[in-house]
Amino acid sequence: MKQLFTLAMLLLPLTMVAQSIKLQGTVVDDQDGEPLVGVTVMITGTQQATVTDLDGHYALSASKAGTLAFSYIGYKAAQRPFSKSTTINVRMASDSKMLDEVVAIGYGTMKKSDLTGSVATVNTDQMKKVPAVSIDQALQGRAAGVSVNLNSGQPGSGATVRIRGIGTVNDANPIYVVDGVITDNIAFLSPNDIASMEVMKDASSTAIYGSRGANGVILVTTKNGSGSAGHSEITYDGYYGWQSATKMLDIMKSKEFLETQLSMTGVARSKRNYYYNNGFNAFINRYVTSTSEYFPAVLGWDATNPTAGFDYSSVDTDWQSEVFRSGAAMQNHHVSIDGATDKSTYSISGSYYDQDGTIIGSDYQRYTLRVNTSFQMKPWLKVGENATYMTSHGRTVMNNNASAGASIISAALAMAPWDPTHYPAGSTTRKGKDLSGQIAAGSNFKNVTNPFSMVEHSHPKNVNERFVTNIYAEITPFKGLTFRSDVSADMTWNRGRGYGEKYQHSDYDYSTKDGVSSSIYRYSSVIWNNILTYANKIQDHNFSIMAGQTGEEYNMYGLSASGNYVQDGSNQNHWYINYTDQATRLAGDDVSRSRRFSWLGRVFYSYKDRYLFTFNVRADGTNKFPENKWGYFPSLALGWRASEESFLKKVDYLDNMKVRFGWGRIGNDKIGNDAFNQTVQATAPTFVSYVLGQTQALTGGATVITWKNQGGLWELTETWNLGVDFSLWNKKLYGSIEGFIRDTKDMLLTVKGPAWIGNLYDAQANVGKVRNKGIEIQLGHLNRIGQVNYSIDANVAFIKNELSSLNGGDIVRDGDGIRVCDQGYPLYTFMGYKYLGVYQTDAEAAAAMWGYGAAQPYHAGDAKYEDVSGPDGQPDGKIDEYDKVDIGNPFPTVTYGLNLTADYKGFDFSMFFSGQAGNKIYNDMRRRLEGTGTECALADYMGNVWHNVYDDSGNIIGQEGSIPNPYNSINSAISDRFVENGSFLRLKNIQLGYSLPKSLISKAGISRLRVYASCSNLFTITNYKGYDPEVGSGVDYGNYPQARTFLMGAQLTF
Amino acid sequence: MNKKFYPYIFLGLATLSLTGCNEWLEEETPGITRIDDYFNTGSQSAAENIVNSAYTPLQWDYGTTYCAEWFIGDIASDDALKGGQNISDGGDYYDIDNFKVQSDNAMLLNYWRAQWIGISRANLAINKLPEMKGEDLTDALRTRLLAEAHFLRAYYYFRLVRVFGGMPIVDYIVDSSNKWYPSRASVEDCYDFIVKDLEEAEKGLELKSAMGADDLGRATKGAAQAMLMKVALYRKDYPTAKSWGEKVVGSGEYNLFGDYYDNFTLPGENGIESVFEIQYMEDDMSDYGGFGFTRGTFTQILTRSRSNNLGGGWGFNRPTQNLYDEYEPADPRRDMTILKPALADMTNEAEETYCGNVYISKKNGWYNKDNTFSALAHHSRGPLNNRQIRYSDVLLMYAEALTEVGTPADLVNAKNALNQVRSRVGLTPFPYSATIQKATKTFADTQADLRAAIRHERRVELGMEGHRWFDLVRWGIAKQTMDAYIAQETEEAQQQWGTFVEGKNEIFPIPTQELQLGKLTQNPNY
Repeated sequence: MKQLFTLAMLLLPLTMVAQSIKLQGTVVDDQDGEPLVGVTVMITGTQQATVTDLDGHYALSASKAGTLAFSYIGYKAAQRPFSKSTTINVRMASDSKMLDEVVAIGYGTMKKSDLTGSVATVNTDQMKKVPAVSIDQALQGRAAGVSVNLNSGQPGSGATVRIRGIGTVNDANPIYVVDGVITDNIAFLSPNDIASMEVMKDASSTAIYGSRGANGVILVTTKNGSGSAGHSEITYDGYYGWQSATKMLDIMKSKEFLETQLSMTGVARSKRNYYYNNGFNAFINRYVTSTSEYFPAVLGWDATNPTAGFDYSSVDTDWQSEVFRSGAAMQNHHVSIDGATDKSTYSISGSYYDQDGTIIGSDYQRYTLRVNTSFQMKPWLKVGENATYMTSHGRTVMNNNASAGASIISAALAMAPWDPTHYPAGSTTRKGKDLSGQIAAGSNFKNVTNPFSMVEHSHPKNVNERFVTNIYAEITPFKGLTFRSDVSADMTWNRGRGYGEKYQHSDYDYSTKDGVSSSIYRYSSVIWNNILTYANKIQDHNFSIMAGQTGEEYNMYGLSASGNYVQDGSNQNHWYINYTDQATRLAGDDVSRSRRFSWLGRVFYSYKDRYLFTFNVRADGTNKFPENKWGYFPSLALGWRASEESFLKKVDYLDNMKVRFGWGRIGNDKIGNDAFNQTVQATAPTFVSYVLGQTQALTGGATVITWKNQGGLWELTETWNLGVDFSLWNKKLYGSIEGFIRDTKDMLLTVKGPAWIGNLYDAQANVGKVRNKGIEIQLGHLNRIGQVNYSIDANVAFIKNELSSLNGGDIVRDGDGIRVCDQGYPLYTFMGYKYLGVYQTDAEAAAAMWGYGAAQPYHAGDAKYEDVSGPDGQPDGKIDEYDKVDIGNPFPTVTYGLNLTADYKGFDFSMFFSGQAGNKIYNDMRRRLEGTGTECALADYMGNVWHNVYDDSGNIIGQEGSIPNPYNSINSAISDRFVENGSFLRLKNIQLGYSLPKSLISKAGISRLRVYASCSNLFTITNYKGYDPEVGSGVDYGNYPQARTFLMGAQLTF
Repeated sequence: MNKKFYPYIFLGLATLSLTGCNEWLEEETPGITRIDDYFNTGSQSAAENIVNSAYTPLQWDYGTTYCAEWFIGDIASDDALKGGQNISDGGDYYDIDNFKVQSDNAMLLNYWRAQWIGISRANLAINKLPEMKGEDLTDALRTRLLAEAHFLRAYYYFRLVRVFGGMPIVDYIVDSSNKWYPSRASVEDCYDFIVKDLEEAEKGLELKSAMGADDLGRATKGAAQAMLMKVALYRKDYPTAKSWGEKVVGSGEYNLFGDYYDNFTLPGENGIESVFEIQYMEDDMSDYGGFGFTRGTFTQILTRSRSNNLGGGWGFNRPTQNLYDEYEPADPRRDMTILKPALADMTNEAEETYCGNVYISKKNGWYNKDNTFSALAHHSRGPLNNRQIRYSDVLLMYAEALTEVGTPADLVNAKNALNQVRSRVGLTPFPYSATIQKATKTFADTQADLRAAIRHERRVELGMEGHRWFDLVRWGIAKQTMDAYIAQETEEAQQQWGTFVEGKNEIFPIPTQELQLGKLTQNPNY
């Protein structure tokens, strides 16, 4: 019964108190008389309050005489006494010196004017204008020093967020704290549910998160009902849009492609002559498809029936347009109900997000439900909860992978233009096998999987579910003292299930048996926080003390299984392990756990609101470092609100000025759970088992796979920060300038030791030291000209990164060895040769490469690399390890964002640019497009490759070209030939909206209706030659590019 | 109770619940086995498992590149060309084939790492097994397992030393960075170390006939004796080689198969002629990946013909015309070693010819005697064991040792051993005269000709089994043999060759990465 009552309270926000005095009125701006929307009007000494509507109007009831308090951010508070029903109109004066906005900080809140650390509050309303599945994507360009790389245009994929550069080769992602729940990933939240976001950048602000704060902290507060009783609203927010790829690579068409291949040196002359003497189809017949059973018989192969067969010469498939979709749909719908009663607030929302990818075989759908409530149960007790349930499913295509057997883009570019996507009806092989409608086999590069067979023959059914909740109780035994205890749980279930068909399209593109794989993984993270806060003000001394404790346990458990030979696999209901052949079934489980226990505290003190002092400390205990269980993370910050000093108060145009200084030391523990526990691996069948016995059976084994290093401890990050915030001429110019030095010490690096250690995987040790230093500038301008309000916001950050020492650690080589972490260079520097052009004669090559003597591998047509050095520091006439130099790195030195907004009457307009400069991209895709053509398409300019020159009768009379001969593998060595400038400026979003006049919509009971049209990624200015300069790792193997999106949307409030 | 106290009760409860956090933090993570627990609470199978895993690296012919030993033993020699799709297919093997190897050769790095991982695992067993606790662990089993570990350590060392020269002696567990930098020992010291291990193994190992059916494939007393003979030959210590040879031959444990080709089929695995084999199984479930994922071998897919009519492999390790011509016309082993595809069998002649060479290594490709082939259950793995030591190898090593010791009685025994190998394939006994290398060659009944005849016999009997290069080097005739052979190769092949430099090319360079990591010195002239 009681629950029902609570529910009724929730759904029917009515004030249940006897009312007698009716109050109403309008609140307007003192200067221009414009109505002020959202002003809080409160009867002092009670919980009764409301906010003004779009016309600045409010209405409120009181039981007895009292005082009305009007408050609004950026305006001076006003108070009006009342004793009977009346109309009270108020003109509020703006006060740019008032910055008493309250912002979230770790384990508490603080007045913005008291902040001493580097905390950027981002404008979430502007961010939401960019259509994004998750808010982290929309962070791009919004805050100085926060760089966001979208990595991939794959629907549902996350962004790489880096706060103040990259401090570690380990996980460098910031953490997110959503309503107090610490998480690594906020994809479970619909951006519409977010009320505010704060990015904590320096150690003095993140130290309260101790070992988790090293990469920065992003605090997210979700919407809750506003605090005034009786207020409630229903809001719909939605859009529908169309996405298309923005760029295609220019590659050769069928005939030119084949002829260019045949002109290359290293290709037998007889092969070329055969083509010119016998034609396209005959060549395909003789050299490409031959008698193979996977290709249709070539037109004219049968001398007795010359019109039979498939005419390859008539096919010219544009593989890029076959795998890229244009006009792929995306839509988002969000409905929320928010409100408050005098003792409770609530917010309930649901959303649906659906996006098709611009590449075939990729899509994403997500549903979220969220409920936030809070109840003032007793004068001393407040309880509340935030809960979100999310489920998503979608299909991911592998991208940014060089393997033509794995990635759709790589495969599409490896298919020959003379291959159709599917063989037309009536196609048969020489032996008469029918190929009608079948997916084509790759005939040029035989080791390719046709992108259509990747999409059509596998059937993944993946579902993710996530439940994030936080329940809290806040106790206030007496004024100033608060005890808050909250328990949060972040649970994820990933269900992976897939069916792969049996098929065969070629020697490479096949699956000999069908099969089912299935897995369920459960991740849970449970945190219990207990925080005690005491705050008081004694004359000019303002202070607060916080002490607390948290305990945390993370668990992962997963089961996975697979089996083959599915009974009647064409039936979807059979895509379960139980329908597979028992003898082929495999199963395994996977478990891990980590625990953390922490003590934390903070002292804040301010004198005359002018001199500010903050001290944080946290002690973290963990099971990850058996020999160094506890880590201590202190920080200190000082602030001086100079504008409050009497000598500056006189300065008219100075609204606000604050100088901040901070120092702090924090940790990073994002490493494996047992990186320092010496273990024996006894899990067959991999690594340790052997084949023994008459029956040749697999026999179990056990050994140490990795000999761990001793004495592991937290990575430590130390930050020095100096900043100044200012506001001038009534916000005509405001902003902040900050400088920082961020040192990561004891970086955990994988240390490769000599082979006799016997490690299959290398162990970690604390060896590296990384320094990031930078300057961040954020500037804004707010103004009004006539009826037009406009604003300009700009931010820019300059960051320099360097791995200053390795202390005996090994150079870290990433992936293909292109990215290298070495002492004295930025992390992940591309190390390679300097490319100087093409040797035109053998003599020229021999003269330059004298160190090789007779066995020298460089000839005419080969790449000329600079002989920088040798074993004794002098050029040695050889091209080897000693000649590899820094040829760029993937990190921008400058990142920036620019946001322009304007509104006029009902119209609003915004334009948002973001960009970066100074970063380099290793365009490995181009390496393939400048290859021999036997494994990949050729770029359209490959006529300039080093090739033979023939006379009319097909004799070689010379060689020429400006692109190195791809047949010599030394020519595709890592060099700056493939390094390109990754700088770009992108019009991220442009939007035009119109809010319908209130007079029109109020009759329908609508308080607000806005419609808008928007375009994302309308244009990008860049010199980069690949699909998209936003490549996460800096090495582009054919990345999934960002789409250009047009969309129409509406926002509706009742 | 006064309601005012409620808040304090909450506070009190919260504080109480926080005690004992250290124990909570120390609790062992689920899903792991700590090393001390493993050896303190072992069992018979735990002891076996520790040794089993020391065999595993023998199987690894794939790391980040395919690192089977025959890429050196066959391809570096006059027996085989690299093969593959074209010259640029497998640059690391191309360099090995053509004396162009540099220290960044990835295949050598993989090979190096695999052997050292094997040594490290053997070291773990040798150092920990003696104290291992385990209720059902018998002393007899412990002794045999320890002997196996000693055998394996010696085996891995032998594989390293003959490819890279003198190695650091590591007979301890490298569990701290203080132990990272041993210095290189001489080749002789390494052989002393290997011999000590093998003698230890020989004492503890059991005869092949005494091994249970489930233990087939493990090291045996005969394998240790054969290895001791082999090492003695490498050290030119012929009397020692002779005496170990006598032990193997006299043991009665081994004999030649009636049919030579039984050595290269599945049913012939671990048969009467087998002294030691690297075991593989048919496993269609294998994952694709590097070290550790192999239960089958890559050798079959690597060496099979590229033609779909002949198995559809990758066409590496192609027997040379020179090897083909080494066989006497009457020698049936030629067509059991070299598959010469007919034009009709080629699906794409252009792709199946490498530097003018169309031959296929039949023994490694899991072909039937009639050139038909079995389908691979896994697209890149095959089940065929790698015969490391066959009894005919033992007989020829024994013959060689006897010849070098050279008393009249020894020479008689040497001829007997040689002729056993020849008569199995129906060839006339030594001394004989036959067409070899397209010319008539006559072996007279002298010690020198006997030596030459044994060398010839080793080449043809063990052709494409990974022995040739190492034989040429230990006989000291690598330079002259290779130069003569290259002069006969096709023009296409000749164009690729670098120069064999004496005092350099007999061994290979230590991989750059390991040179730096282990603070080693490089081999001469690299």
